[in-house]
Amino acid sequence: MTTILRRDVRVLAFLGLAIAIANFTVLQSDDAWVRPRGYSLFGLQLVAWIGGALVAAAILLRDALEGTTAFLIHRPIGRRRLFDSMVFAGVVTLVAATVIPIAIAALIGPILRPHPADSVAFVWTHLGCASVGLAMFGVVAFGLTLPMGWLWRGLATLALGFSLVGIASVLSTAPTSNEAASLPAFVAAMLVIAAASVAFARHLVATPADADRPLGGAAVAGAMVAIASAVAGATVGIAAIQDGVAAEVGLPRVSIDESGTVTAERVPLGERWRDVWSWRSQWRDDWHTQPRRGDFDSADFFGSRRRWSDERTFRTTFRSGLMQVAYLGEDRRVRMHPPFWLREGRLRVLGRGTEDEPFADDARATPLDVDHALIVFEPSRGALWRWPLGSDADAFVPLPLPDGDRAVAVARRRLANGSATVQVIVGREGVYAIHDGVVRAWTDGRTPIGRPIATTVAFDPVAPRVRVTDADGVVRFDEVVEATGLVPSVFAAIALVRPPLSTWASQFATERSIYIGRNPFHPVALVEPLVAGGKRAWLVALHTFVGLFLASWTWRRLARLGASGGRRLAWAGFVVAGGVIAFVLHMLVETTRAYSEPVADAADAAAPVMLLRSAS
Amino acid sequence: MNSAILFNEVHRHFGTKRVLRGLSFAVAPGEVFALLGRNGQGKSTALNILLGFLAPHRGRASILGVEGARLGADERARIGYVGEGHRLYRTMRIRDAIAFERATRPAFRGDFAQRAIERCELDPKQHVGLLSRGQRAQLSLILAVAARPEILVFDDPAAGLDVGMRRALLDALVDLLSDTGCAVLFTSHILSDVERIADRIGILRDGRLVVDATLDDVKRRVERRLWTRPERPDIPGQVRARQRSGGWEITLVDPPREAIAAQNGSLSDPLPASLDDVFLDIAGEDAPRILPDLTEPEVSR
Repeated sequence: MTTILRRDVRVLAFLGLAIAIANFTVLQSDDAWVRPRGYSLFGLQLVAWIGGALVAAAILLRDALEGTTAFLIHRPIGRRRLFDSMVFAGVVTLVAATVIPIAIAALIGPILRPHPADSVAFVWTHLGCASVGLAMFGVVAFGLTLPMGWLWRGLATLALGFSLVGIASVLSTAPTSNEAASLPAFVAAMLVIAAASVAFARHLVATPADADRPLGGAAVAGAMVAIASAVAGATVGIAAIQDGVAAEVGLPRVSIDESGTVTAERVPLGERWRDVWSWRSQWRDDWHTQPRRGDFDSADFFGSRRRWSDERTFRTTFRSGLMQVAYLGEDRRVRMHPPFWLREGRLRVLGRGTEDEPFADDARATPLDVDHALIVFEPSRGALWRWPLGSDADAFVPLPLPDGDRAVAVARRRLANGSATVQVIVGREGVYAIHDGVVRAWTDGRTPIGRPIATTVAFDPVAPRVRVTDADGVVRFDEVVEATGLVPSVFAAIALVRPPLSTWASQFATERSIYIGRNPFHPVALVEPLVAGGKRAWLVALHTFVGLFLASWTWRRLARLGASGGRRLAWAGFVVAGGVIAFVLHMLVETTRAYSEPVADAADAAAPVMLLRSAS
Repeated sequence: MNSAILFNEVHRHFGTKRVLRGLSFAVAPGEVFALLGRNGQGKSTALNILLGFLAPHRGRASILGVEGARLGADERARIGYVGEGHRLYRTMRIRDAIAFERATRPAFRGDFAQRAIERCELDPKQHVGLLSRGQRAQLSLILAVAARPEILVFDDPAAGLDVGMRRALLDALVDLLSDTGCAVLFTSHILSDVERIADRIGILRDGRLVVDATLDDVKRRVERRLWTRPERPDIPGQVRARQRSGGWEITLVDPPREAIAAQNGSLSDPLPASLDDVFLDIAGEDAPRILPDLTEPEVSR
């Protein structure tokens, strides 16, 4: 079991130490000691991704790079036990690189951090990232043992690695997302991926790659697993491409003039695509809520968390309904706020009112530009809570709106005299601004406020439907804002690259289920938005036709090559479900060379000759 | 008799190019067999198939009675292998390499390896990557032999070594093998080395073995003579005829004495021929592509 550990002890020790130092550095710079459980630590996650991949590559590529594969294999151990030994070495390295920083933190943490948030949370955070590292190790090990040429193995490994990142991003914002409850499930999912990848790789490793023979059944199954994973990852990529196109298409902006005339037009967003994400996430969250009010544009729905999180010198998060506020100092020389400048005693755990009752599950925190206060908004209760930053107050106090109005959103509103926006509270009955803790009605001097108008947008990337109703429920505006030019065609063409399986699923998906994933800024469209909700059946039919055509092509090609009936059937079925990507990958696995027969030459025609033979 | 190594009608191609077209031969226990052939004739392919690194398209290659693809830990423990280029982990020191072998091969004799290292004047603290080619070859050999193999397989062990290094390597090999009695299969291009250590040679040509004979038989049964007439000779057992000034130089295998006598003095006495000469006559670049069928006599030693 220790064969590879012995062989690679130097390089693994070096890598392990580097990962441990990187982890420790990230923990320091990201202020992990004062983070509650589940707080997003992107740096820690990045170290785990890279660390897992590097350790796997260092172990599995060494023999290929040094030309020592035969030297290693030819010893009384067996290929699978050798592979076990490689996995053991990798896991030991990654675990050590995780445990060592925790141990050091346990020793010196209390010195550096007299008031740590939660040591259990700290360990969970770390475990979340460590599980990512193990999953990446497993996936890279699987990719590098696929029975094909090294170029394709490398490309497959890259595809699988990105797929894993995509899957993880769907499962959670990060291993350490704000969804604290998801962390154990996330860790479990990552460990299952790691174990499954290693198990597949162990199965494959007994079959040496041979370009001149068709893969064995087990190897084909392994290749299909790899392809399925790559297709899943590619789906995430396709979704990203589509969203990029959608951002160029633009989103509808609805405006109402003083006479009450409603207009909707597409506004290309270009470089503002990040804001689209933010806009969409808010939109998704409120999909089934009551219609909003106000003459809005996309700016109304900008989430505010991203705006301040990089600029303010405090961090907030919710845990079990309580808000944790880490109030940081700032190193002005480098414009950073490392943990060394965390002012002692400035970690606050606050709830609602003096009783510290938990906030609603949908509570969001936002700082106010003009009020230097932290506002917690509870959409489900329509309530606002305020806590002045830097004050010694130890509770969020209620922030009532005038006339008992209920808050609908904390948003930004464009001023009439320019492009500048201002933060406002949107209520059912009016729009309000806060100054020094006092709520006042707000006006931009252009549109009468308080006019009860609600707007909904049915999602469709190339033809969203905008509907505006007044307070009485009368539809004032109902129009499909179609995109023009080539973009819709491009969008549909991209959709054809998706696996038909996902398109069929899209046909039955509701609009609400288009986006999955916990990351509000990067939701992933796993179903096809052009088809979702039963729209565009022609696209489903076209997709199915393409899948069947490619499957037929696959069947005929494999028959021509001489593949068995079972193999043809397996691949054809796989291509029907996987579409264009599966077809392309099938050609890479089932190569013409593997089935080719040598060319007959003169030596073939000549009878075997033995010029000289001695008796044995 | 049980063969230590057996190739039986092994075929293999790469893409559309045939490399082995029915390779068949056997190596007896205790025998040193040299597999010869020009570059690209399939020597390394044959060894890779034998050791399970590559699968044949047809036929069977077995070692210790087990097919290459099915070699298990027990069989591999009884087989020593030194690959082309003497690949070792370059970042290890010699003593680390020995420790690694000891840890991964139960029968490895550390003391034997230690003594051999001293005899070859290798420094145990030296990094493998800093060794000369010859030293690395010696170390590879020592590591393979110290595991007490019953069969040794070498792929061109002297490739790239100068005369001195080759001599040192061969001396080491002879020393190491002197008390083991194991069967050896090796490939080589250095025929003088083959003459020193091989009992038997096989010459690969177009993917098949065209010679499978003891060295004594090769020297005894292959003749070079001069044919002094202008017309091309056609003598029973003739393998090759090259025109020279004043006649033809011909190579004969097992020529019938009566056929020699019938030439009425047109044939010279046998010329001195080295193994190099014999090899070039049979497998050289300008050797005839279609060889005559001389399969009739299978002569016992």
